[in-house]
Amino acid sequence: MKYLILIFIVICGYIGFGFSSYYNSRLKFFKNLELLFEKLCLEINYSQHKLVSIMQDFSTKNKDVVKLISNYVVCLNQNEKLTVETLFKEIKILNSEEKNILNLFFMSLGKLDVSNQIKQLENQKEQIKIYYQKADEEAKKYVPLYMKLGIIFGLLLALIFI
Amino acid sequence: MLNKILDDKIYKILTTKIDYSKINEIRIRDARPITVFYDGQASFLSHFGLSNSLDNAVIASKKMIEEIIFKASEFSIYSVNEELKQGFLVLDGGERIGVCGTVVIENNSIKTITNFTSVNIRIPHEIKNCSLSVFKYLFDSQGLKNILVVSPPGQGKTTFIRDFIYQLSIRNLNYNVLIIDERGEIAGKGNRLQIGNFCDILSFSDKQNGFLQGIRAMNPHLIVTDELGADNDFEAVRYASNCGVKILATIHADSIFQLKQKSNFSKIANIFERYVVLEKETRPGVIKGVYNEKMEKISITNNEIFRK
Repeated sequence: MKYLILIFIVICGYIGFGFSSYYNSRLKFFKNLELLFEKLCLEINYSQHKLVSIMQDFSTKNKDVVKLISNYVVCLNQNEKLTVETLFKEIKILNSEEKNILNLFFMSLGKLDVSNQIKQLENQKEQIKIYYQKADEEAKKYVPLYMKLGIIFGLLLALIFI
Repeated sequence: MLNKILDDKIYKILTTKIDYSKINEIRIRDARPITVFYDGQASFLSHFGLSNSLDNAVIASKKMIEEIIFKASEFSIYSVNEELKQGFLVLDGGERIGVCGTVVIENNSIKTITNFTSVNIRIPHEIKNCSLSVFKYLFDSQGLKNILVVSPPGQGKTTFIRDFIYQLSIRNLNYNVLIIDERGEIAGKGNRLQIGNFCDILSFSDKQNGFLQGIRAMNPHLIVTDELGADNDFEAVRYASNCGVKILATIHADSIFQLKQKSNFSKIANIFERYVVLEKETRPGVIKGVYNEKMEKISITNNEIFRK
C-alpha cells in the first residue's frame, strides 16, 4: 500500500517537474544566450573572427542554444531567408515576442562595423537580461508550484484509488 | 568563388549563358542594369546572356548589393572594415570587389562605408605564358632589370606581373621574390593564384612598411608590387633600389608620354630600366612595347599577350 502511494506521488511529481522544466529551460536558454553575446562582443572587439566561426566555437550544453546556432549557420550557409520559422525551428520555449526580437537581431548581426556591432550587441544583451529576469521570476513562481501540484495530485490519486 | 556571393540566378546566367573565363568585370549598381565587361567590351546582363538592349537587362537592387558585400565578408562586415575603408574587398580567388556607398567620417578619417550603392567585381585571370613574348627584354647578361608595367586601369597589369613571377620561378633563376600585395590581388587571398615556388607574400601591407619590413626580414632579390601612386610608394621604391633589390611594379598611365608627365614620376625615373606598356586595342592586355631606361622602344612589335 505504502509503495503504491509512493509510486503515485513520484509519477505525479515527475509530471509536475516536467511541466516546470519549461521554465527552467527558458532560464538556462537566456543565461546561455547572454554568454554567447558576451563571447560575440569579445571576439568581435579583439579577434574580429568571422561570425560563423565564433558561433560554432561557442561551447554550451544547452540544447536550445545549440539548435539556435545551428539554425542560424544553416540559414547563412544555405542562403535561406532568416525568418522566425527557420531560426527557431524545433525551439519551443520562446514566446512570439521574444522570437521576433531575437530574429530582428540575428537578421542585422554581422552587417555593421566593429563599434556599431558592439553597441548593438550590448543593447541586445540588456534585452536578454530583462528576459532572463522575467524568466527567473516565472521560474521561482511556477517551478515549485508545478512540483507541489504534482505531489498533491499524486496524493489525491492515491486517496481516490486506495 | 563568385557562386558564394552572387544571387543564384545571376551566377547561373554568368556560368551557363556566357563564357565565364572571358568576363573581366561585373558592375552592379542600385536600380541600374547589371553591366558585364566581357572580353573587354561592355554589355548588359540579360536573362538570356549578354545584350546591348535594355529590354531584357537584369536590374540590380540595393538589397542585392548589400547581400553581395555581406556574403563577401563571410557574414561579418566588422571583420573587413579596414578593407572597406579603402573601398574594396578581396575574395579568396583574388576577385576584387570595389564598393561605393556613403562614407562615414569620424575625427577626419574614414570610419566605414555604409548604405552601399554599387559594386564592381573584377575577376582576375591567370593566363599562362602571357609575359613570355617580352621576357627576353627584361633580362640581360647582368640579370633581371627593374621593370615598370604601364597601362590604364583594367588592362592586365596584374595578370602580366603574376605570370612574369611564375615564369621566373619555373625557370629556377634563384630569385627570391617578395610580393607586397596591398590588396591581395596578385597572389589572391590565401595565396591561391599560381605564382610559383619562390615567392614570399606580404599581404594587405602598405608599400612603405612592406618594403621596409620585407627587405629586413626576407632578403628578397626581387620585390613585386602593384599600382604605384602615392609619394610614399615612390619613396619605398627608391629605398628598395638603394638596398640593391630589383623591383617589378605597375603604374597607371596611358602611354610612356603620359608617364613622363606625371609629377612625382621624376622621383623614380632613373630607377627603372625597362617599361612594359600595355594598351587597350580590341581587348585588354595588348603590349604596346617594351622601352629601355631612356624610354626608347626596344621590342619589335605589338605582341598580344592575352590569347584566347
